[in-house]
Amino acid sequence: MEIQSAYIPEIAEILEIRQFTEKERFYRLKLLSGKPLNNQPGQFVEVTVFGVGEAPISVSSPPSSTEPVFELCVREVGSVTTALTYLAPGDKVGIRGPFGKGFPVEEFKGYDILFIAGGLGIVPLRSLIKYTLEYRHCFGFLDILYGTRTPGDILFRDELISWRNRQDLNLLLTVDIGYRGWIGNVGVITTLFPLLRKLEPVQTKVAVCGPPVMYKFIIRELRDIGIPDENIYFSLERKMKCGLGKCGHCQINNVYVCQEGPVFNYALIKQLEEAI
Amino acid sequence: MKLKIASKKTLANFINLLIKKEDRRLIGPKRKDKENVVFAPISSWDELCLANTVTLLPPKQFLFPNGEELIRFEMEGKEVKRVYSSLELEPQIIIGVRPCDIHGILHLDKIMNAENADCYYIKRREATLIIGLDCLEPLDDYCNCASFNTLEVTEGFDLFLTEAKDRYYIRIGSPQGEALLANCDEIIEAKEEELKELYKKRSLLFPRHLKLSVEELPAFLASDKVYNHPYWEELGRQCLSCGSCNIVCPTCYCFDVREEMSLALNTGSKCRYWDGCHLGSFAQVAGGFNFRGKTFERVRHRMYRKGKYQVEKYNQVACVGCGRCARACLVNISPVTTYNNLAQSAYIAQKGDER
Repeated sequence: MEIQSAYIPEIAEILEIRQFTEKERFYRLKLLSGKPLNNQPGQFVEVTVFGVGEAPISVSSPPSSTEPVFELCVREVGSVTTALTYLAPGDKVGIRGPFGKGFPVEEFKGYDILFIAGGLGIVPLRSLIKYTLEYRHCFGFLDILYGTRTPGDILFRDELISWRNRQDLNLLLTVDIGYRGWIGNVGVITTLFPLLRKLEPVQTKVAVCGPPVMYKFIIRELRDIGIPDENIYFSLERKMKCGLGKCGHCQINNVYVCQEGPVFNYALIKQLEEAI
Repeated sequence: MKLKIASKKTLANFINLLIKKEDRRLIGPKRKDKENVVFAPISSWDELCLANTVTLLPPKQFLFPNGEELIRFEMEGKEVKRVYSSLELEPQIIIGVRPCDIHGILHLDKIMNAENADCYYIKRREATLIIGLDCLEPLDDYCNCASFNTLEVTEGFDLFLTEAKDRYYIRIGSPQGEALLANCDEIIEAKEEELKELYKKRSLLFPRHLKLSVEELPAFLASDKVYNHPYWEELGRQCLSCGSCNIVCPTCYCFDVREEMSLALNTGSKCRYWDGCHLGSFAQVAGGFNFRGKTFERVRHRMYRKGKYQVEKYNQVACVGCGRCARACLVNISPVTTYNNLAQSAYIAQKGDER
């Protein structure tokens, strides 16, 4: 008996692949159904490489209500993401989603926004950054803090250059380990805070995405500036197997990250043990 | 709900007739070896083991099979040609389901029908009739239904048997159950009072091992003192992270999704396998970071999931007191002992604070 199931993926064709770093690649894909993905910034999809498996990947492009095209940036780290490196434009993958709750863009409107990205955290944040640039007049000043391990790990370089040239946006970069030729800041992401302009704490919404270890240090800095907890949004990484709130892998206490996250308001999750 | 009664012989004939009809397979407790009874397909009444024994696993596997296929796909070289979902359904009757296990099934029903309903489980459940089997005394010392209020069942079965010497009372729980009994003239009406008489002594036989009431369990676990209690680390040092407790639990349903290819590489499928939150890599993400890397965190997660998290999400304590996890545990960790020890030490700590 054939049945309708939430596990049947849509088929998407790879339009373009760009190698960003040794381990990270950028993929532009198109849903063969012709329908837009309809993602919110911060949501994720489950990507299937047929015959290998499925993995949760953040969507990196801003929402589009018309185009069936979307973008991912993937680090080669497990079996599915490694299999993705063997694919070429024209090859097809399966896509389920988008899943979960993204950044509440409507609530961000009228506010200054501080983006804080560590490493691959720039991938989901790029979706939000591009959204705010698309609807620039709806938002106040934009500050972006972006840290990577080395200068060679910096992603979306072309876009960073164009952002850096804008007057209505302040981009600060740092690397943990600099090498010859790097004239920017060296140090963990919190070393960028002293370089940040003076923010209006209650007028600022903060979107943070990075490795788990980063969050505690970021919270300390944001509290020092006086940013209220309810203005801070975190995107949390977990192992989402089903995306449907059933398989249990992404559970933090009583919260299913694939349903109620991956983006959470800090005020709501600070009591949640194990979250950060 | 109507009550009927049949002699053992009549019931045996009735069950054999059900098997002969062949429109549904019959699943029931069957002796596997000297020690163990398991739910398995039954080909005659004589194979059924309705004695006072707890089955190794709950009947969960017939509603939520390990390794269930979710989707299937066809390939031509690298190209995927077709993706679809196909369900092989075998209508079935599961007989001999104890009250705790019926509560377990009711719990799964609730979860699988909640948001993002699970079509596989629902379709299997719809094709399943349940014939429950009452307990008039605990099956062994691990039975804890009295602590978790799961000895009484009022729903979740089509028929429900209560053994009384050489006869069985048969409670009708659904129109489908009633239909099964149609044309069985030897199964006759019975009086409720007779059954009540049988139940009179029962509550005394089932001890309440849990020192808290099941209603106060979620609030008790909500205390930071309990969550951060050093006792968890003690349990963490004992627990072997083997996941046996997850596998035997009637309300554990976490799963892993794996992809499998045929040898010819032209067809493949995505299947889900039972997984366990006690296993070391359960909350590990790509790249190696583990969000519950310490054993005690995983023990605590399971105990909290049963006693608190699931209550918050589905308004039901997820432990049905079947005792299987405690029986299966190689180092004797049990939810009841865990909750009791915490309650006791929390109480002592509180008294200490007061002084």
